[in-house]
Formats: sequence, structure tokens, C-alpha cells
Amino acid sequence: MGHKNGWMQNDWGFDLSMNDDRKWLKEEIDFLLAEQRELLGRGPSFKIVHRFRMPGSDCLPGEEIFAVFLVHRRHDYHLRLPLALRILFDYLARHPRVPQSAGQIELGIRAEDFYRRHAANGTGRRAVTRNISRSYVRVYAKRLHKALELAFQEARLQIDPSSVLLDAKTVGNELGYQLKANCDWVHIDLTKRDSQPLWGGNCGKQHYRSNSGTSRSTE
Amino acid sequence: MFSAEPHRELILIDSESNNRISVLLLDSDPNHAEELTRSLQALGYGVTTRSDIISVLHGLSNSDFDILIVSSNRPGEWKTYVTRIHKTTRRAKRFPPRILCLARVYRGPQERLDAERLGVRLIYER
Repeated sequence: MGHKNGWMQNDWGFDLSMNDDRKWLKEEIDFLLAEQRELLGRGPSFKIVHRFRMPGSDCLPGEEIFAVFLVHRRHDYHLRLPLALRILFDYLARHPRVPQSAGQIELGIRAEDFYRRHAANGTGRRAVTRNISRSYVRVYAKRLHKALELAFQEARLQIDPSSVLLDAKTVGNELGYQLKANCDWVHIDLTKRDSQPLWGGNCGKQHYRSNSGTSRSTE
Repeated sequence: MFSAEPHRELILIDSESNNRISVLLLDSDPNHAEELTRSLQALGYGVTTRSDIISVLHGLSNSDFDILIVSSNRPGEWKTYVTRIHKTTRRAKRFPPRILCLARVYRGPQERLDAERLGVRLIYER
């Protein structure tokens, strides 16, 4: 047997490297490493479900952030988030590039119509929302870590939640929060009769038929 | 060059191996372990072999590995090992190795389902 570059090799050692005998093993190892690289590079995958979307629209104010799921190997694992945390998660997922301070997060959520009119399509008028106060962002971040930890445990993913919801210090004393994850949005359309364009949907206007058989609408 | 120690540890020491994928192999069958180690090395991996779960857990606490291969011939044994490994690696803050279980006997689809639920891959040797 000879030594070359620190490897033990004999004559049939070279043959092994050319042999397909363990090619199946190499393929499995390659698959696991590719999965690991993806998780490390892009972060885990999440699916954010919005419901009460107006048919024909894309993603508009009035929808509800219904649920958030961790997606791993074709399974969905539900994140147990109350409304405030669903709003926070959705907001951070929409702004993944730059870490934001608690103050910026508070301002951003207040300023966006989507969160001000959250779930209004479902109630017909009234928004069902939460104010995210900047003094509570740190508390919410801890709770979000906990929800992520539970979902990762369920999915048997050994990922540190603080590597997904990052909190990075600025050169001052501020903490910047950032979501390092791959997020997709899924929508469930409203099915109320008056939201369907084909049924003459007109967002709640009532039609009355007069005795002559003609119809007129009132608001 | 490599060194073999009493508990069948084969460590590849190679100045060019900084980027090589490191594999920790748990296999209580010495002949099978030796054959598998040679195959893995021929495929280009750096291999550390252990014959019992205690030394594997010790190895995981002290070093970083990319892949952990659990080779087991007894039914259900790999599940016990994987559960213990998960408990150990969960406490550590590093990103743990991906686990691959090697089985030699097919015992039905339930075994693979159990592996999926534990977050590991189970494959059968060919």
C-alpha cells in the first residue's frame, strides 16, 4: 500500500473510486448536503396564508393573515401565532433585505394600509388588527422565537430560531430585526356572493326590483 | 497518513482536507465498518469511525461533522441511536450533521416512515 497526499491507497483503492458500487451512497450524501446548504443559505421555507382576498385581485388591504406554516419535505407545520405575531411575521417577511429597529417596525406596520385594514373584507367593514408598539417588539420577537422552535421541533429540523429571526446590533445600541427565510404567500378568495364579479358583485350594494321589473341599486 | 486507535478510530489527517466533507460513521460490525470506511474514503470523504453510541456522542460534542451515518443491523436500533443523537445535538448551538441511516434488511415501509418523522434519511444497502 502506498501513501499519496495523506491518503491510504492500494491498487484496488483506485478501482473503488471508479466503481459504481457505492454510487447510491454518494448520491444520498450529496442530497443531504444540498438540503443543508439550502437551509443554511436561504433559511427555512414558510408559507403565509391570506384569506378573504377579493377575486381577481393580487394581494390587497382587507385580507386576513390567516396562518403561517413551516414547509419542510412536503409537510406543513403550523406556527402557533396569535394575531400580533402573524402581523409581525408577515411584515418582516415582506421586508427581508434590511434589518429594522423596533421603532421602524412600529412605524412601518402603522403606515401600511394592509395592516390597518386587516381582515376588513371578512367583516365587511371593520378591521381586525393589532397595534405593534415598539416597546413590545422585543417581547414579540422572543415569542416568535418560541413558536419557531416548536415548529422546528415538530419538523425535526435542528435549526436555531435565532438564526432565522435575526436580531443584530447596530453601531449604536439599537437592535435590528430581520427574517432570514424563504417565504411564499398563498391566497384564499372570498366566496361571498357580493364579492363575485360574475354574479354582478358590487361590494355590498343592494339591488331592488321595482314593480315594472327593472332593477335599481341603492347604496 | 492515518492512525488507527484501539476503539477503531480511523482519522484521516490530510493537509489538503480542509474542504473535504467529514463523515462520522457509527457501526458496531468491525468488518462492515472497515469496508464502508474504505468505500467512503474512495469517494473522497474524510471518515471517522466509531463502534458505539457513547463515543459517537462524545465525538459530536467535540467536533463538527457534515454527515453522520448510522449503520445498524438490528431492528429499531437506529431509532434509539437517532433519538439520543438528537437530544445531544439540540443542546449544542452549532448546526448539527445530517443523519443517514443504513439498513441491510428491508422491514417494510413503516421503518422509512419512522425515519422521515425523525427527520433522517433511511436507505438500504445494495
